Amino acid sequence: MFGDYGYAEEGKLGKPYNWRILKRLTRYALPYQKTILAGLLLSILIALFDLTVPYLTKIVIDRHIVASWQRVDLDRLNDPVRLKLRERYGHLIDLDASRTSWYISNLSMKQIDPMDLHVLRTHGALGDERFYRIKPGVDTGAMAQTAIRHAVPMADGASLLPYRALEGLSTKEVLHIRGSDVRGVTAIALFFLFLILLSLGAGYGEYYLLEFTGQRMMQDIRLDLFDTMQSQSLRFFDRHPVGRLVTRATNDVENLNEMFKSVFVTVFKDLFILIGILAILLALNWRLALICFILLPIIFVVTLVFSALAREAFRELRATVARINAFLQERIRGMQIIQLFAQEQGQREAFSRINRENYLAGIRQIRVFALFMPAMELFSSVAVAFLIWHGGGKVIEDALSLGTLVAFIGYIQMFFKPIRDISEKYNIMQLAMASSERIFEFMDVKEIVPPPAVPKRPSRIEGRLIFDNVSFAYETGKPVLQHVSFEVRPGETAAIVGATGSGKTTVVNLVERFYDPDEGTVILDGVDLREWPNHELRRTVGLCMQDVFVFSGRLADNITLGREGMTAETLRNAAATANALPFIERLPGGFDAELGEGGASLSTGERQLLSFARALAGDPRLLILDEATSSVDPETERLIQEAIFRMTEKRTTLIVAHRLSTIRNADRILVMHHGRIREQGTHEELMALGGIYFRLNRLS
Amino acid sequence: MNLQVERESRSLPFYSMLGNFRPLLPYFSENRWALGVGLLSLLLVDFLQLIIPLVIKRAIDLLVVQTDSTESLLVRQAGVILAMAVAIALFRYVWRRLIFGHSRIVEQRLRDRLYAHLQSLSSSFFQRSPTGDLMARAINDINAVRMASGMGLVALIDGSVLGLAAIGFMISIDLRLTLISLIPAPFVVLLIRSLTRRMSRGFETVQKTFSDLTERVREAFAGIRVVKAHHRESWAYERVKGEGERYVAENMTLARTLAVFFPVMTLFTNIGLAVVILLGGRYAILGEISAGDFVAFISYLNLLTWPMMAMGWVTNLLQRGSASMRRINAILEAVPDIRDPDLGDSISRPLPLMEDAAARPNRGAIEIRGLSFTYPQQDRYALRDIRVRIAPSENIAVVGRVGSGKTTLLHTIPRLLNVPVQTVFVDGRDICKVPLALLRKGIGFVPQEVFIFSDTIRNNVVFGREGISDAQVAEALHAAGMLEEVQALEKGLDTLLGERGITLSGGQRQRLTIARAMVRACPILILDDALSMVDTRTEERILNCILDRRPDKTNLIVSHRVSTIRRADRILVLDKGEVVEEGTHDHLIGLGGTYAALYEEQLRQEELEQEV
Repeated sequence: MFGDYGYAEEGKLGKPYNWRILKRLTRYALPYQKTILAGLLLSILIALFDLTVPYLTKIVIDRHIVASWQRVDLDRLNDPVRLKLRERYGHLIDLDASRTSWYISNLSMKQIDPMDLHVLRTHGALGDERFYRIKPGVDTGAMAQTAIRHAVPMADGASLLPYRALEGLSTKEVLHIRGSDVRGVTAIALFFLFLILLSLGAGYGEYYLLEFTGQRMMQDIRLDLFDTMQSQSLRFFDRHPVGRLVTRATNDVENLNEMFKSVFVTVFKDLFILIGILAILLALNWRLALICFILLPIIFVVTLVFSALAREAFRELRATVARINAFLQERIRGMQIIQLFAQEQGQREAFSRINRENYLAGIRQIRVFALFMPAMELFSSVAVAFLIWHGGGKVIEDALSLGTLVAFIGYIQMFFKPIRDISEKYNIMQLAMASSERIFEFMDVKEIVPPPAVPKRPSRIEGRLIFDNVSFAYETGKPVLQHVSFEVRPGETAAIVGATGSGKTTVVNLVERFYDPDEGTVILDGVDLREWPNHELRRTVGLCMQDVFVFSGRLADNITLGREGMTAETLRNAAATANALPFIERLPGGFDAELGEGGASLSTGERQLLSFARALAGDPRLLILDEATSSVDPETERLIQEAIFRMTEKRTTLIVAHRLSTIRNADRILVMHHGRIREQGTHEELMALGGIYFRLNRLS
Repeated sequence: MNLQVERESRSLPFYSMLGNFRPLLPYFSENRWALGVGLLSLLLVDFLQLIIPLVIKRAIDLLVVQTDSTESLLVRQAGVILAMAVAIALFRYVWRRLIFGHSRIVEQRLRDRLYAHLQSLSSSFFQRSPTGDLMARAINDINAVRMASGMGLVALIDGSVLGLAAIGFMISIDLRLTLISLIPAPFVVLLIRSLTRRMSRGFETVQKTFSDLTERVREAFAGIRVVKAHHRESWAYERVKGEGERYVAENMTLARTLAVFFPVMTLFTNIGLAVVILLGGRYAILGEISAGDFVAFISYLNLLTWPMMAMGWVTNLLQRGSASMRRINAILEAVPDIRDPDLGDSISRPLPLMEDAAARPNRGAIEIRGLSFTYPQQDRYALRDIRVRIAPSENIAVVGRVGSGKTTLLHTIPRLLNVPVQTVFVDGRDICKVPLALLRKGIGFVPQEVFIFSDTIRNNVVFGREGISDAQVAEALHAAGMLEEVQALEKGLDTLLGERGITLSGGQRQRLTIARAMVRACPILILDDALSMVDTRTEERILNCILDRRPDKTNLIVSHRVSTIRRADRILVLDKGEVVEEGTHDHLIGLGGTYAALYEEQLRQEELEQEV
């Protein structure tokens, strides 16, 4: 949260990046191109500000603090040279009042060719004394005569005063003479202050805009991903544990956001700063700049090597942390076994070994960083040392202004931070790439239950259910239903009984069209389920499941599930029929009571009643009731039985029964055993038969 | 001890914040030399870093007033810079290696200690502490402690030394200028503090909404059948979308703070710089300071940026570390309720390795005298006034309905539950007086819930016990009826199980667990419904094998299978925590009570299972 300041060593890694994925990601960026552009413009503005700081310092030094003139003694040169120099540099030269002596400023000096400067120097034509230029119109009359006496009057009305002489003046006098410098410095400082405020604003805007874009993009990706996953068939959910799906839609998307921020924000800005610094260095003095650039390939190689080493170190560290995790999780769960076998010491030693591996990996990582971070700083110092030696020499030769040298040093010191930052960000990018690969892998999944090509609507919805020779297997080779045929007529109540694993719940899954049968057909009101329009089918069939799932939120929402056109009255009626009203009214807030985390929790029996109400609220023609196995107290049991009786009165009902008492009154009982229907009939008929049903009854 | 996630109080007083770190003291003191050298190197680096601007300043001053020797002096200055840079790089390496290395040592030692302590705690502790929570403490919280004792330490020392030194140098150049350029400092520190506080609140809220979002997504997938059955995909989508929007909104609220925070970090230096340009430039013009001084002053000002940030950062790192330490201490301070006799309060001492052979169960006699037991926070007796005497080499079957107390009874014998003294005796000794390791080494126990480690088959059977040969492993596997299956595997005993290896069926897992208990011949063997997942014929064969090998040893078996129960020398019938009937099969059938009813029921169940 605080950035790194050169000490950070945390990070995670994945596979290297991949353009195909970046291209897909770009599609999500398109709707926000304007905000992204605005954010990037602002970040350029900030980068410009960062670059301006040393430049302003340079101006302050060169123009105002050490602004100086030197005397050029032309008499020491021979005629052709004098003529040539006059022709070339006439516009840079200031003449004294007598028009015999030349004076040249430190700023103009660097425009003179170093070769010519050398000629001037070897002939001793360049005076050592440095002068300060008093602008024309500055009244020097009242000043100490001894000091002012040395002033050289110039042709344009200014006068040049040796710096030595300035030292003899009082503060007030210096201030008077150098008033323009002080004003210049003040102006620059004020301008700087203005820039600070501007940059503060730009910084705020940039961060906010990019965060906004990132968050919106991630929300888009998250919802797309969620929607894709949700529309897959149940086979998809059988194969993928919920935890994995949740991680994709939340954590992986979050990793992606991390990359968006670091790539678009930091890396872009860092690159911009790098290029900016390179350009400025070239503009300031391209010769010196090119010499400094010799370091670049070395830095490049070192950074690459570092990235590779750091990646390895991270990978190893992550692997050892994962091992600690796995070990701990297993030992905490199996702690009783360890204690039973008195294996505490051995396990402690085993843990110590894994923990030590983690320590060693940590130390290796520290070494990599302890080599790279100082190395980068070392390069920076090498560059500075070189500048002082070589650049300083140039300054002595007047081929370089002192201000330029100072700015050069400043920029070189700035140059290494973005490189370091980018090489650290590389890891985040890799992690995010791995995440996005996983995200897109899921976005490409197509396991939906195929919608009918030509939806067929039954002429009359009355709830007639036919299983015609249906076979089904979740995994090929392990049949769960084998040639199951039965019919439930409108208004009838049919019950399926059988031992665990006999295939009862699978029948429900097929009626709900969670799966399609491998063989045979399921027909509802004369139409194959595969030809029913999906929403129509869901409205016709109501399901009360074995494990009642309660969504966190209001109780009423748990009954309506957001279905439209459900009035408070529908809700109340459904709850009343389901015998759920008494307990709902006992809850604080009644229908508005909050359920789930931080809210009220329901007992198993209450959940059952809630699921009845949920199914009844849709007034389905065909009701499927997968009875809960868990036992409840006798009072709730009575409420449940009563509700079931009431619910089954007006509609076709298929009950998967675990308590045989529930189904005594069923019109038809189907006895399933190992995926087949073995017996069929009413309670009395089956009892008389003395088969499986008879024995099941004796058991309970 | 309350292991519920405690809310971090952000306004801890400093001393109590540091007090949480007390358990780390030994690691700091053991490592004091490395730490000392590391800190010294850190200070040396700081010192050299402060000198470099001086050398640069000197070089620049040389260039302003040039003499004949300027050039050679420059070469010297460049050389000095280079030499110092090399020294800095060297010392940097040293301190990074030593101080960060130290933080890794602290991490390692603390985690070792935490794990060792976890092992001493009994199942009641693990029942009230979710695994995820314990893991979070062992990984995330220890990470936070590492950060505090590595980065936190560096930032604290480095920040304060550099900050003070930079200010000192600035003062030596010009006091007025220093004071003026520092005017924004207190305001920025205050601003950063208040922003930091707002930030951590913001982060907490974002974290909270993130888990809400995660929960919404989880719910939608966990309840996918309900959603699909009622064709409510659009509803679930809207719910996730709504929670996602809240998450975005909270992030944007936080962004408003962060967007101020990051620019403000450099604000201080920049305002200071503006002041230095304004006034320092003026002083330089007036000749009160040299141009070189002016440049050096600016460098020192830049040096202050990091200490300013460091102070805000240190507080945060230490606070987080302290909060994490508090959570870790909560575990370290948990007193094991089942522990070795005569250990007093020094629970942190490792288990004494008393090889007092006499204390080790050798005959296998068990006596329970009037044992009653209630699980904590429950008002119902799990066991009530149990009086049982089991002679060595007896085969005992324990039967009863679900929840009748069978498992609880078996768990008291290896003292997995904290039984009162003078109630359970093994070989005539009160188990509370026998060192746990000795007691448990005398008992082979196969619990109801099998537990297989992600390791090889051999290691799962040997389970860390020394001196067990492959032949013994094979024999144990044979007794458990599993040898042939293992031999059929390509890698045999070296076959890896679990996540990265093969998955065993429920029955195979049970049999492997039996082999684990059988590999050492213990005077007492306890099988808690250990063969429920194998078919009746296999169970019969395995039991034969086990009992044949243990003619002179005590066996206690919980089972539902009629055939298994019948062959026991004696059957204990439990109901609601009490022994209601006791005797041989024929005797109990003759009584026509609880056992007879259970038997009848079980018989029918088995008949139905046989049906094809």
